[in-house]
Amino acid sequence: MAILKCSGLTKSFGRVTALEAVDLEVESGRIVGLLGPNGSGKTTLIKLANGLLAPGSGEILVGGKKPGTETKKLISFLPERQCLPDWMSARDLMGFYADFYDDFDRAAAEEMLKRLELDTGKKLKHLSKGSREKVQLIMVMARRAKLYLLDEPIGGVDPAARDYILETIISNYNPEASVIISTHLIADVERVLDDVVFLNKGRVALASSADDLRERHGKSVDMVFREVFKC
Amino acid sequence: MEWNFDSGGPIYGQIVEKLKRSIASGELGPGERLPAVRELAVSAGVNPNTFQRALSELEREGLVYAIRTSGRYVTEDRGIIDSVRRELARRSVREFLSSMEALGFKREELHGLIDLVDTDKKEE
Amino acid sequence: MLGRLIRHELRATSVTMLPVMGLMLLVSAMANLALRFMDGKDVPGVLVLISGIVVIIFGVGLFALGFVSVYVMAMRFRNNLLKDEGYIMHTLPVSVHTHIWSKVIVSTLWYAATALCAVLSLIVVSLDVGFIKSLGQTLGELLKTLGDINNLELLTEVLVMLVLSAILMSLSFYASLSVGHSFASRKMLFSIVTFVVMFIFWCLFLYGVNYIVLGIRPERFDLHIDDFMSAWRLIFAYICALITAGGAACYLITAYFLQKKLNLE
Repeated sequence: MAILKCSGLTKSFGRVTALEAVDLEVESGRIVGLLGPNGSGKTTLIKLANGLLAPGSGEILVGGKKPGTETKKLISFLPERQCLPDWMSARDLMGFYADFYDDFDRAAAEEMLKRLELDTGKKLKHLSKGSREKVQLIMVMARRAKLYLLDEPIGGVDPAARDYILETIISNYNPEASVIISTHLIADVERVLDDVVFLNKGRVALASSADDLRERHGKSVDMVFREVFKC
Repeated sequence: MEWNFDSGGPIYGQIVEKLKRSIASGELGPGERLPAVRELAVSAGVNPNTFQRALSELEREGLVYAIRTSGRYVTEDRGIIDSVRRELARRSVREFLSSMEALGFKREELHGLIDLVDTDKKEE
Repeated sequence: MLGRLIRHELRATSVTMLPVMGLMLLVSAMANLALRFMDGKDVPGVLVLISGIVVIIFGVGLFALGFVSVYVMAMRFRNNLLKDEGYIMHTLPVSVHTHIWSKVIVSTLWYAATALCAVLSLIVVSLDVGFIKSLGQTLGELLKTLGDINNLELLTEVLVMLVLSAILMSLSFYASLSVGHSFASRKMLFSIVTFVVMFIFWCLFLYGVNYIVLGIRPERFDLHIDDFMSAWRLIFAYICALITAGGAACYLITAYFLQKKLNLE
């Protein structure tokens, strides 16, 4: 069964249509790139899967269910923004995640924090921006979830941090889970993708296996993307 | 192992190519045990499924074999390794010849060129 | 999950509430000392002036304490559920109803704590200070006389009404904030507009209900007033029903907007 399934999914904000008749299926065990320029509907799709927005028409199912308390147990979500409460320390956060998520692997989180040589007793507001972002990623990837939704995980980070983020994603996701990475920085992530979905103005412009796409076109996903979205 | 991927062609194909070269050159010796797929994938910065696909391809070609419980090993069959080595060498020569041709050199001039490069090297 | 949420909520709010209350008690202690100074003889004018200022700060502080705790609780709702932290909170496997209840319960607890803190501040400020002490005695006697006609039932009823009013107040803030923050911009402005509109509707509702209940059959109240307690009981039940109706409306608005109209930036 597909972990995420959209059929005829449409969402508008006032007169602006953010998503239009999106049909999409994501199978378990895949790392999927949700690729598109800014404003193409990536974040809207992720918010709908998370239940942060209600669909206008059509349907979105997570693990066969409509978004709600049950589906939220399956999803581990990394928001685009840094939004952890800054009065908490990394240790507080581990307690918080362990409290609310049965699938939180505290030992794994502690191991990752140890490798970062981060003071887990220090409040987040006293950490650097880069460290805070890493702590948030660690909390998300330390869950043994069925679906990871990562919204722009590498936006605005330096190459070393980018490698750290991608490495953390690859080494933590379990083979029965799926990862959806939304980004417009395709060259940086395409090596880790199984499948790619191009979103353009709220519609699916292309959905394919990443290696098939490279084989068919004889060029990188990034170059294919540039052709599809040529201005 | 250093991993660099170029933009053209599928990633799994590039991994197959890279591992073939390592085996042919002896960087990965006959009978050597390969790390776990996930470890390899992390070190190459690629998707584990992609790496898995590359290893399956190498298995199909007989360069790598799997033992169910203990992992994957480089073949000990030197015949296969040698044929891969020759195939890679032939391909390099073909590429060399075609680029020389593109520069307008004739086959007979190539020996002279090689000798020239050798004397350059000695002077250094 | 409600218990865990409440525990988390208490920890998060205590980060601001405990220092605020601590500060209030500190100011009370300082005001107590200042009052003793002013009570004494041959004190230089400057010290009297400073003492006076301290006492004024205490008075204003006591007044501000209530506002601060209401403000902190409303902002907690906004920052935690309607701003960036909302990305974390609304993706927890917790229903919107649990979220609202945890906020209502924790706010009410803090309001009670604030009231206790205010009483404590008054006690601290009047400890062993001559003229305040006599004031305290008069107050004490007043309470005692009240206590004579009082019984436990009346006290409980007043408490229930206070708690219900506190809940209604919290929910009315939550409803207006939730509606206001469903707009794409000027979220705070729309929140205030919503509050005003809701207040007008509330007044119209009260007017209508009172007109129907009291206006059409005014004899209803006159007829049954045999003694103070039975009249009071009727009024109490009536007021509680009105507050509960208002609270339920605010609750439904809040739940609907959090579920269907959430608009995080």
